[in-house]
Amino acid sequence: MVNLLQASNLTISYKTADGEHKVLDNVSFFIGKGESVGLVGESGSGKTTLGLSVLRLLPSNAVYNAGSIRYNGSDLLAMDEKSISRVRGKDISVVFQDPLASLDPLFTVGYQIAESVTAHRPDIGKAGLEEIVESIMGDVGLPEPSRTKQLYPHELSGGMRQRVMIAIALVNNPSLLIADEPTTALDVTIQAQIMDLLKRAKQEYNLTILLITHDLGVAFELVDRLIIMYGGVIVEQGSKQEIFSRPYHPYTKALLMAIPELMDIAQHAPPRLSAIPGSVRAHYDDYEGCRFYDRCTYRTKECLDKEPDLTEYSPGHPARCIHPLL
Amino acid sequence: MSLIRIQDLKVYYTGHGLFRKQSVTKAVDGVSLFVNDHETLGLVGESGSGKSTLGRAALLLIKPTAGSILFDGVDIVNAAVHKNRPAMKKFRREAQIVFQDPYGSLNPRMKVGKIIADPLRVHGVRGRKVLKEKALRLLELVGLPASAYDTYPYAFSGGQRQRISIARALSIGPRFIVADEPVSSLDISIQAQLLNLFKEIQEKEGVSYLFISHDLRTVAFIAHRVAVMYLGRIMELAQTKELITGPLHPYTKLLLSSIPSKDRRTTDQKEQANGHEHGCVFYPRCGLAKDICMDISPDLKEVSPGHSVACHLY
Repeated sequence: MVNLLQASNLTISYKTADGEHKVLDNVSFFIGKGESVGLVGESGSGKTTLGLSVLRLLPSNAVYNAGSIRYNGSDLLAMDEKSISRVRGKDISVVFQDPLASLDPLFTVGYQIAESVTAHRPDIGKAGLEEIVESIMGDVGLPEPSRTKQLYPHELSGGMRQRVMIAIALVNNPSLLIADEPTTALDVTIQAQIMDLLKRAKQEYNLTILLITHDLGVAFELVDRLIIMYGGVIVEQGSKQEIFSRPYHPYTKALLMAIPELMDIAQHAPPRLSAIPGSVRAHYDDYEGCRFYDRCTYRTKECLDKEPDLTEYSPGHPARCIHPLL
Repeated sequence: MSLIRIQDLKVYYTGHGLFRKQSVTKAVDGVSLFVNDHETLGLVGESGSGKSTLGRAALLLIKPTAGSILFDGVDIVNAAVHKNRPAMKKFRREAQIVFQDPYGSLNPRMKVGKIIADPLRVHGVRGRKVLKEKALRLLELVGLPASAYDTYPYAFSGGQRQRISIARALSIGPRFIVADEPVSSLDISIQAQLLNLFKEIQEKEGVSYLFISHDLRTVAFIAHRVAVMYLGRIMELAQTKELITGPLHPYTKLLLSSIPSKDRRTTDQKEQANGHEHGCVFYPRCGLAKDICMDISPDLKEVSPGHSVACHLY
């Protein structure tokens, strides 16, 4: 498989009032063409920073300390503003969590979809543009495109707004879609609709997808491979079957245990859920050793000696742990 | 006897448009349910279902438009109207709430110890030593260090803040707690900690919960019985295991089949639509609707012991 995206040794910090804190520490990963990868972690894991760093959409206090992100061979971090804008929304698109905050309340949704087209094809004719807009709206399941395109964001439900966001993302036939918690703000029945839409889009548009989520259940439905993050580093990655059936890292295992299947709860009525004690630290700047140490049930004093390497315990399935659950 | 019994409760909001006709939103429309001593009733529904309004109305934080609420045998809607102070005071002491947002619900300028002890003071407990002792015991009960007593809320994470909220709710020894999405804003690993804590507290203190959540998995773990709400009405109510393994209402079935999991199949559902003027509120989205569903709203009726459903199919 050809790598569409390849991030190497990416280190990013945020400047804050009390100094610079690393949020990503030496992160490397790849996404093959046509593959869907899930980036899973809890708040503070750095998953959103990693996802948005690809399009250089980070806030102005972010500092790229080191590393590169290659898309089709060219380094996105080395590009000038003009070149990166040509990539945004054309080759790589993003769908954010909150569709209401991402859409402009003053313009009709049809206008906003059209804007995304004209940004990359300024010479397109009016008739052609209308046709493209209506056809993509139909594709993402927005009813009566010719009427719906004249509506403003506030006139649509949350699910419909997210369909508009997906239409904007897909209208230029991108090769990579970055979806940052695309269903988190939605009700569960609407979430199911949007997941189905993304699954269909993946087939029909031959999309490569990077799905950022805290929900392993959502990730399981859409992706082929999972990257698990904790405290700014990748702690484990592998195919979703591998991760779900035999996680190596105690964090991954604990995360899986914390979300039992509904039927298991209903049938066995467990007296307690398996929780992960403690919480993640704000940052690990002057820290050596394993970042999960405080919360791990398998820890030994060796875990504090140095940060464990990402070790490949089986082909394509590395974990950052010196006591893997083999 | 049930600790709290809600009968035909209605909460209607009237919208006043300047140029528009007055519109009425039926947030809660004729809900009846009860919660027993030491029991947890789960209340699930999507946004707009009226579950939070129902939870707040049950505590008289929102004034019901109609209906009655019997708490420990006393009609408190009546007590509030007739300014029956002793009855209201007892109710306020015995019924408490834990809110969803742990950032918006704690006063940033009060130390944690004062936040927790404040309800005690309000209800007439005096003496600095007594109050501090009680606050420290509560901190221990919810798994926070004693050092939290002299700290401000900003120093705590979301999960720890929810523990503070729980300690505050427990301080005056309530018998009934409305928990309104208390874990929804937390990370999964922290959610599990808090849900365990809610259970532990029920076992130790014997409180009853009305546990409101949009997440069926959460409710399945914590609740003895579950009520499913949709657009202001209860669609189905049953023992937790029965509701999940043998759901009857088409809406309950849709909810269950929407939960992301490795077994989920593509859902077959109609687009969301607003409530229906006359018939069943779920009619516009229902795949099994009959003619009668369009005109007549089904009542919640018991189809087997402890299992009620509001649907013309049964």
